[in-house]
Amino acid sequence: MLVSKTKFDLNEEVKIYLGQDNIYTDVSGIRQIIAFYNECKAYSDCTINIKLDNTQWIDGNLCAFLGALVYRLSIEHNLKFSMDAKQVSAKCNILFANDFLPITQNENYYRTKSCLPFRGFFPKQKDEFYNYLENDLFAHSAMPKLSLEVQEQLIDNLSEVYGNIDKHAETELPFFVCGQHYPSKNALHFTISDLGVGFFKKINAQKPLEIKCCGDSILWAVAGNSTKQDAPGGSGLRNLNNYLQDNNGAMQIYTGDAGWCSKTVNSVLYPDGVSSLRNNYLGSTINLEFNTKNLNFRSV
Amino acid sequence: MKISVHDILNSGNASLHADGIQVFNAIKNSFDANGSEQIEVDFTNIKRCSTLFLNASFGNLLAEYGEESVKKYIHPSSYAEILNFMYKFQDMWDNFINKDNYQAYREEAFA
Repeated sequence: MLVSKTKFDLNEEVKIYLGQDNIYTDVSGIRQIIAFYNECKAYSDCTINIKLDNTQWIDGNLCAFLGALVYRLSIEHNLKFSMDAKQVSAKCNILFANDFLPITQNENYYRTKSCLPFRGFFPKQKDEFYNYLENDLFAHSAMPKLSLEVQEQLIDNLSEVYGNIDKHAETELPFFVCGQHYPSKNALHFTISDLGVGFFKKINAQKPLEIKCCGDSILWAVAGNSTKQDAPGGSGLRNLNNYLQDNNGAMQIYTGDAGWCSKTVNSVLYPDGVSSLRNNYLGSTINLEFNTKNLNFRSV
Repeated sequence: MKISVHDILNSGNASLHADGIQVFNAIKNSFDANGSEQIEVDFTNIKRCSTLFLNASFGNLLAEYGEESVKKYIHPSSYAEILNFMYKFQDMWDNFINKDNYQAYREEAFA
């Protein structure tokens, strides 16, 4: 079936609302950004004016996810994006503070120490990615003072996750990172979003009888099954999840039509931690939630 | 004969599948050309090394030449600075021994 797209002159602007409420790092926030993406997908060759009228808040780290989807729209639908600087400044100035939106003036006014900058890396830009991990993530003032050994082990595990994006995502498109410190929650979130094929395709190909949906593929990868079978996640995902759980942090994964959160595992509503995104997201997003009050130096 | 991983990759990070294939090709060329000469795969100045890299380099060597030849002629060296190197190396070796899974990996790697 042919799906018709609405074509516009590139100078024309189409107004699309980013969200309906608060956009947090949870299933509800991810659903709102995917809904925005799907609405944009109906258009091509024009400029989308992102409106924040209904948005009260967006978690800064989710700029990794939003940035990835906006990038895909710009490539696949030839869309440009604009935002009203005054509206951003009044409602979500975090988008200036973390480099998601370029600042041409009053730079110091917007800069805040709570942000880890929004960045995109092509899969082969490994040295740049490691520099970001060392100089922005682990050097952030809010990060717990980890021993060098623990820090290196965490970078090592992120390295495994990164290598798996390059190997299994089947894309040359960049992946995006961003982070945010939430002092009131004693949490630092670090989000990685890629635009690859997600977890399900590769894992289902290896275990077609066991893995029947995206939620199954997340659980399979988090359990560490991909360690021996060269599948998305690798050993890094399991080790990071174990570290965060042992140190009062958390991890979330979103891929395909499923989301998983370590905090909701064993809950009444979501006993396996999996919930539906209600839409399909081609790619995978991993969020690491570090507990900044954690003084536990246990190894990974 | 010494083969420097850093010289091949021009980076201190041996992380990617493609990195492993580059190193595999360099070792293979040397091994095929020089027969039974000992090959030292030198990790000097390599800071990070992933299992993905080891699977694509040493894993493919194991598949190409077999366990005995690799054990006898091809040796990693100067990896003390790399976290968990031997643990990962052993993991890679186990992947090879687990041939059913490894074959699927190899077919994919060379597809």
